[in-house]
Amino acid sequence: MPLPSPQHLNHRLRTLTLTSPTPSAIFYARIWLALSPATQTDHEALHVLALAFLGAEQPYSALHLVRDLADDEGRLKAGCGARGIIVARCCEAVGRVGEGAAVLERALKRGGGYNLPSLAGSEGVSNNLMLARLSQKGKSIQTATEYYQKALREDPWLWEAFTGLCDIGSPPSSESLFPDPPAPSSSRPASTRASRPPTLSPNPMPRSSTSEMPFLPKRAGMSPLGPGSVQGQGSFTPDVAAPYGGRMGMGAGGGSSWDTPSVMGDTTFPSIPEHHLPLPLPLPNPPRKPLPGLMTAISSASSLLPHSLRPPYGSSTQTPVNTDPATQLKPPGMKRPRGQTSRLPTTSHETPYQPIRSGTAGSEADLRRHQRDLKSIEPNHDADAPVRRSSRLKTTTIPSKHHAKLPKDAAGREKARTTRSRSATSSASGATEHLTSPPTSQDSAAQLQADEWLRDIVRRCARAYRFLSLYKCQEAIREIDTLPPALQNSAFALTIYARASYELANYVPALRAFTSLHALEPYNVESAHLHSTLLWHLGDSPALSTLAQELVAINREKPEPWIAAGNCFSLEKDHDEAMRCFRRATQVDPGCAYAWTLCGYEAVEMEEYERAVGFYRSAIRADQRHYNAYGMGSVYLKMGKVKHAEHHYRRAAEINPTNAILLSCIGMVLEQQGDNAQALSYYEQACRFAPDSPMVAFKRVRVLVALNQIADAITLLEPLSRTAPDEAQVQFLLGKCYLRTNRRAEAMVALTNARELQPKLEGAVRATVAANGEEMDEEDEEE
Amino acid sequence: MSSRSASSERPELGHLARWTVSSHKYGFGVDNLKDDNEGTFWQSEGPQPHVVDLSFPKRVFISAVSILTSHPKDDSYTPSKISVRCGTSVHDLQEVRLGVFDKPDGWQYMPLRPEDADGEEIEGPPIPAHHLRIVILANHLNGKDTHVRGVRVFGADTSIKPSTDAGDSARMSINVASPGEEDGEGGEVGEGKRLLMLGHDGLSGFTSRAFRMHEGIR
Repeated sequence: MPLPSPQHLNHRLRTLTLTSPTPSAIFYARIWLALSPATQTDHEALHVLALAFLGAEQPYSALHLVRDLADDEGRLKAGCGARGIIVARCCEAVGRVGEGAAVLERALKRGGGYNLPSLAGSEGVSNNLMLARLSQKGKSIQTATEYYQKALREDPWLWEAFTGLCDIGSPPSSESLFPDPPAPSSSRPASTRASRPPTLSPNPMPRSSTSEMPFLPKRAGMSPLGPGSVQGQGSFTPDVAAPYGGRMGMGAGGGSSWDTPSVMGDTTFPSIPEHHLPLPLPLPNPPRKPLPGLMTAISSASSLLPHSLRPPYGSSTQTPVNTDPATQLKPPGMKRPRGQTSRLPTTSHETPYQPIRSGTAGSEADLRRHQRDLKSIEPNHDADAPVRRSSRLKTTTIPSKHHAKLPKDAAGREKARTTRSRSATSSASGATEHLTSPPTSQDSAAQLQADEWLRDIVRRCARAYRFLSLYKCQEAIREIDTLPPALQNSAFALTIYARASYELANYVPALRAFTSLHALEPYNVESAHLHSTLLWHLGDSPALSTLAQELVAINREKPEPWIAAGNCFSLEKDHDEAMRCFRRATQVDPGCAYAWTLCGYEAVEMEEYERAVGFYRSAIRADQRHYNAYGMGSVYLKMGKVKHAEHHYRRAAEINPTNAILLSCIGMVLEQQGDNAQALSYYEQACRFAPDSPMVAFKRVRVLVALNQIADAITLLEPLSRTAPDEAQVQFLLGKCYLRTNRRAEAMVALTNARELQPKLEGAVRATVAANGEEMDEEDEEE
Repeated sequence: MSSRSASSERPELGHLARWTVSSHKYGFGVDNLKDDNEGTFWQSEGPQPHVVDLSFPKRVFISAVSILTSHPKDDSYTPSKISVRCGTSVHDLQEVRLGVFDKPDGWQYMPLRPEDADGEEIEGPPIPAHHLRIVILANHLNGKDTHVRGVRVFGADTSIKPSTDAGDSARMSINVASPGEEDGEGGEVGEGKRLLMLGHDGLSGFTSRAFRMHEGIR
C-alpha cells in the first residue's frame, strides 16, 4: 500500500494524538513518530510523544526522547524552545530541579517560537512560573523570587505566582496586588471592541504557555480594544484558570496592559488538570461543571474552537499563529448569566464563521443562535464536547471561534472558579476574524461592575494571604472578615481563618474552623497537618485517630496524612511508631519541612537529642521560614545550653511574632537566666496576643512571684483560679502565695484543692507547708 | 438496694469518671455498664482477672459500689469474687473491700470500708480516691469470662455534713499563725524565686486541657 500524502497523514495523526486520552495518544504518537521521524525543522511528533509520556507519568521516557535523541544534549535545536520546556517539565517530574531550571533558562534565552501542542490532560504553565517552581525546589530562593516576580509581571492575575512569592517570604507590596486596569474608557462606542472581552485571546496559544510570551506583543496589538471595557472584561474573561486550576487566576496575561491580558492569560493556562491538584488554598467550590472531563476532551482538539471572545475587530491581533488547539475552560456555570451580560456580538458583524459566544443566550441571540447551531457549539458544556469533536473532525480549519464569555457578573461569587474559563482561540491557521458585535451598554457596564467587584474581592483575598504568610494573623483575620458573608464560608476563607487562629495559638476557634473546613472539603489534605497538630495539642485522641485514618485512606503519597498518623501515635505515647510515620512523610516529600520538624520533636521525646537537632536542621533547610523548627530551642534547654535556646526561640519569634507560646518560651528562657524584668515584658506581650490563654497568664504570674511581687501575683491568680478551676498548678501557686502572705486558711483551701486535682503534688504540698511553717518559726524567733 | 442507701442521699459518681475495661467482646463493651439497662451487659474476653477501672479527674469521696449481676441469666458468667480497690492512680491502689457472692441476682451493694462493730458491717467514712478499680477474681463454676450488667458508684452521704476540711487540716501540721505580717515587698528577689521553686516549680504536670495545649509549640 503506498503511503498516502504525508501531510494529511500527519495532520490526522496529530489530531488523533492531541485529542485522545493519554494511552491512545501514546499509541498514535508512536505511529506518528515512526512515520515522520524527527528532522531538524519538524519534530513535532517528538514533542507530542514526549508530552504524552509525561501525561502518562513516564517522565524518563519523555526525557529520553527529547534529550537523548537530540543531536547533542546541550545543543537545543535552534528555535526549539519547546523541547527545552518539555525537558524542564520532565526534570520537574523526576526531581532534577537544577537541571530542569538550567535547561529551561537556556531555552528561554534562545527565544524563538514555542509551539507546543497541548495534550489532553497535560498541564501548561508559564515558563517563568515553571522556572520559579524549579528554583524554589532547588532551594535557590533568589532566582525563584525573580522568576515569580517576572511571572507576576507578565500576568498580574497569576495567583500561583503570588502565593509562591508569599511562601518564599517576599510577598509583593499591598498596593501592587492585582492592580486595576488602566482607567477604562467607558464609552460605549469605543467599547464595542472592548466588549470583546478578553476571551479574545486570539491566541491560539498552545497549551504550553510558552507561546504566551512571544505572543504578548502581538496581543498588545489588540489593544485597540477600548482599554476600559476590554480590560475589565479582559481580566476576567480569560480567566485563566490558575495554572492548577485552583487559584484564581485571572488570566490577565500580557505585560502591563490589561487589554490583552485576557488573551494571554488564557493560553497560559492550559486545561485544568483532571486530577485535583492539591491547592494550598482550596478555593471555594463553585458549581463545577463537568468541566474537567469535558475540558480534556475538548481541549486538545486541534481544531477545537476556542472559546475566545475575539475582539470585535480583533482580527489583527487575534490570530495567533498557532494552530494548535488551545485549551479552554468554560467557566463553570457562567453560562447562565450570559444572557444578561451579553456582550454578545450582535449580528451585524457576524460572518458565517462568527465566533460563537458560548452561552450567549441573549436576546440578540437569534442570529447567533443560528450560528451557534452552525457551530454546534452550545453554551452548555455537555453538548459542547461532542459537538466540537464532530465539528472538528469536519474541518480542521474552521475559522469560527467559539466565544466563551465568562460572565463575571454571574459570579459575584466564587471568584476563582468562575474565572476558570480560558479562552483560547485556536483559530485554525488563518482564522482570523470574527468578531462580535459590540455589546450593549448595559452589558458592558454590568460587566465592568462585576469585574470591579471581583477584583476587589480578589485583592482582599490576596491581602489576607499575604498577611498570613507574614504571620500578621490578626490582620489576616480582619481582612477575611471584610469579605461578603457568602465567601466567608468558602474553603479559602476558612483556611485562612483556621491557619491564622492556629498561628496565634488560639486553638479553640481554629478547631472550629478546621472542622468546618473538613466538613466542606473532606478530601482535601492540604491543611490537614495543622488540623492534626491542633488535635494533638488539645489531646483529642479519638478525633485525631479518625482524621488520621481518613487521610491515609485518601492519599498515601502525600506527607500530610502521614503527619496526621504520626501525631496520633505520638498522642498515645508510642514514639517509635510516630517516628516511623514522620519519617515516611519525609520520604514521600523531602521538601516538607513540617515532617522533619515533627521527627525532631519525636526524637526529643525519645531523648535522642543529637538526632533531634539534626532533624530540625533538615527542616530549616527545607524551608527557611518554618518557625516551628526553631523549637529546637527546647532541646538546647534540656541540654543546658540556655544561650543557644534563646537564640533559636528569638529567631522563631522573628518569623512569627504573634505566637504567644513562642513569646512565653522566650520569657521562660530569660527567666532561667535570671532576667526577670525582660521575661515579664515578654509575657506581657504574649498575654496581649492571647488574652484568653490561662497558661500565658499563669506564666506571667510566676514571674511576678519571682520578682517577689506577691500581692500583685495574688490579685492576678485569684481570677485565674476561677477561670481555670481544674488546674492544680494554679491552686498550688496560689496556696504558696497565701502562705507567704500569711493567709493560712485560704492557703489551706488552695493547697487542698491542688492535692485533690493532682495527687502527685502531695509531697510538694507537704514540703511547702512544712517549709512555711519553719519560716514562720524563724520569723517568730527573730521578732 | 439496702435500706441504708434509701435513707441517705448518695450521689452517683459514674458520670465524673473515665471508664475502662480490661477487655471486652465486640458489641458488649463498657457502655453497657453505664447504661442503667438490665438487659445489656459487659462481657470480658481476656485472661482473668477482669478489671473495670474508673479514673476521676479530681479526688472524690466514694462510699459504696454497687454491681448488678444475675445468676439465673448468666450462669457461669456470674462473678463470684470481687475486689474493690482505690487509690490515687493506677499504680497506687489498695484493696478496700472483698466481696464474695453466691448465686446473686440483682444489685449487690458493697459499702467500702465496712467496719465490723458488734459483728455487723457498718460503713466507715467515705474513701477519697482518684481511681477506683473493680477486679473480678473468679466466676461461678470457674467460668472464664464474666458478664456484668451494671456498675454504680456512690459518693459521700450528703445528708451528713462532711468534716473533711478539719480532717485535712488536722493531717497537716500547721503552726499556729502568728499575727499577720505584710509580705516583704522589698524582700529579696531570691525569696520570690525560692517560693516559686518550693515543692514544685509549676512548669509541668498540668491537669487542665487549657494549660496542656499551650505547653509548647509543635
